[in-house]
Amino acid sequence: MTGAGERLVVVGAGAAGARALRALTADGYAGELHLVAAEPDGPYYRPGLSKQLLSGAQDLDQLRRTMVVDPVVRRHDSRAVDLDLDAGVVRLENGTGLGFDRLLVASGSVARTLQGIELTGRVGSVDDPTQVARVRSWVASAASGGEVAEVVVVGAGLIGSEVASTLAAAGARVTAVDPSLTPLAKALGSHVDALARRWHDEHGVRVLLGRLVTSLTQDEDGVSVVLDDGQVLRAGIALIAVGVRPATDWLAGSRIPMTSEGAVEVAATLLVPGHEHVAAAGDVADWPSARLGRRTRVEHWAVAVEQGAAAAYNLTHGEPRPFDTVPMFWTEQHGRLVHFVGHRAPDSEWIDVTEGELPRGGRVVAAVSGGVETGYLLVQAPQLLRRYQQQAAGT
Amino acid sequence: MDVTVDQELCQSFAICVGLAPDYFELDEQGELVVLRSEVDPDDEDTVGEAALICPKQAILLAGG
Repeated sequence: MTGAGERLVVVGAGAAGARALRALTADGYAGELHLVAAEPDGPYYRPGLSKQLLSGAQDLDQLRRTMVVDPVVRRHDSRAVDLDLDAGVVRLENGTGLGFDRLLVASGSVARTLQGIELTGRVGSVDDPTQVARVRSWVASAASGGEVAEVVVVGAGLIGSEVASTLAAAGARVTAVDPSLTPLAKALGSHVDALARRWHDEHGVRVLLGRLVTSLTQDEDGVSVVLDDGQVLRAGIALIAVGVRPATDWLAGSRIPMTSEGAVEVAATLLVPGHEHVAAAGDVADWPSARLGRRTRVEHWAVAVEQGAAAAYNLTHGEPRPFDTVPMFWTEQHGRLVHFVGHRAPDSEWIDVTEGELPRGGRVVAAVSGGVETGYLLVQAPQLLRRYQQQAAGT
Repeated sequence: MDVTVDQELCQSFAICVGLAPDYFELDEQGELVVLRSEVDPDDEDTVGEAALICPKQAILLAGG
């Protein structure tokens, strides 16, 4: 692999894109490397928006430290708007037509929005750093003035739940609303869903489940959130965290095979069948996992990082290797560290397999399907992560 | 290349321990310990991956 005389374009400066570029430079790729970064002032650690940035533990500059782009990579601060596969050109919003010999689609996700609700003033989205920083300073200034900031978080899934716990820790009075009765079950399984509800309760976060927001209006003093049962929630600010969808609008009409949810359908090598000079990695990649025995798509930073490295290798080497992984997720809810390694099914049983007494009240809970332990949930037990990663990999 | 961990930021998620056990370890109290700060050129890719993944963005790389 030399790559001399050719050009590889990475669209997306998140986990997958950053990791791919590092793998390529470490591997001595000799072609030109280009990065299309949609963030206005360069890449940053996006998961930090709902955590470090919202809590005030780190600012945006600190969240850029690990995302620094190697000087050999040419960065284009714009977003991809179109792909012409025949011509081999990605068109950018700033007018640039960027020719490529190889292309990595790593454009990640965009936050979903609520129809008819504008993100201005007292209503913000959790995926916008400016809006997150504004909520942060508003909550902090209320706290320093001896007042309690009231916040409505729309969405109580993984991110909504993290946001609610971060804001509660900052002293805000939080109400979270979600149409699902088990909002965390999809991302983290039914066991965490139940645990999180208990933790929210203990920390004074009010969670209204099975409720839709029918209108959200703002005035000089605050926001009014109307639910489908007629209930009106009044708060100083509302933060929208209703999930994400693949950021693949720019691929529409390009002949790249897509799933119904807008992800790129790739082979086990993460290469696009019939267009092996194109790969996808991260949130946008829908891939067949041999371990799972079906196609899957994972929206998590760690898997995106692994896929970025694998896609970079397969795009630039003659004998591509199938990608597979034992996925690992983590979240932090009300100060508790939660890890999950392996797989689980909607009907998994959760069985406590904690051995002896663990520090910090740690628990290990196995996801069991058909009598087999397929994954492990660690609650406050990071010291056991490596062991259970190995155990999950062996099953 | 040198690796350090900002102990103020680190919450011992231990993702790095799984990725680069030659460099990171949790002690008996669950505190993260950097086993060696000088990164072998062969390990730069792996330690860089740990820094990129770290949930608290507490792993800092300098030089090299």
